[in-house]
Amino acid sequence: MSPLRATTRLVRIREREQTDLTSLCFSRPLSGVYDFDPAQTVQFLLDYKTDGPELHGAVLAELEHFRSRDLLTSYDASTGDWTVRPVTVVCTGNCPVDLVRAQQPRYVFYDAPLAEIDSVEYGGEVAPLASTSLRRMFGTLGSLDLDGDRLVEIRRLVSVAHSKGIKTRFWETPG
Amino acid sequence: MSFRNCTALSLVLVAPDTRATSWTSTELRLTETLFSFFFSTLAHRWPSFKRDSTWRTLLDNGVDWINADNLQAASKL
Repeated sequence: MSPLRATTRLVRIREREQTDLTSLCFSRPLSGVYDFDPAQTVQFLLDYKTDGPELHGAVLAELEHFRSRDLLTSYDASTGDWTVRPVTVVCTGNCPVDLVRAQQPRYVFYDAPLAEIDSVEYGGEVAPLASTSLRRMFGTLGSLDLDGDRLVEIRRLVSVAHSKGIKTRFWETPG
Repeated sequence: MSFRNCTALSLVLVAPDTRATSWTSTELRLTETLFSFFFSTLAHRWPSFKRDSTWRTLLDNGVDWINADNLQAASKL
């Protein structure tokens, strides 16, 4: 489902719920985009291509529409509580990590560099996701056979990330 | 089995000794056309079993997300 269609649908669902008798009778903790699994949150990756700090303000202003409808996953740093909602926003690319860290409660998260996952700077409460380019990691051209040292390194990165509560992603994969 | 030689196709087109020969403008234009065609379509294309095995290996080793252009193929993994 395209991000635009998904968000449009989410807003429609939430607006319908306010007048829907069934929804008033049966309380549902989370009503997401997937009919077969309403508790599943959708992860939105916002890839910042221009100046990060400048763009971040504009993104927060746009997201207010969804935040005010209680559609965004948030993290409260003072209590350490997560509130999982239908959409989890993660910014990537030129995303300013300082602004992400400063937000309280936090509802825009950071896509950490998976290659630097050992750094204490990145924890699951700031960056629930860490990514790297498969192509950049193992060379641009030639074989992409994932064996031997490459596999050992991937397993290590994944286990360090998971121990911090961070999910992992590879981009620039074949096909 | 390895597909290292897939990339040799691009090397053939830019080999120095090939460029040194004097080409007619028609030949040059044809080469340019081949170049742009190759880089717009074939350069990033993988044999599907190779692509699938790379995706599969990543997922089997605990990676949570993979970026994929071919969603239909990825959904069938």
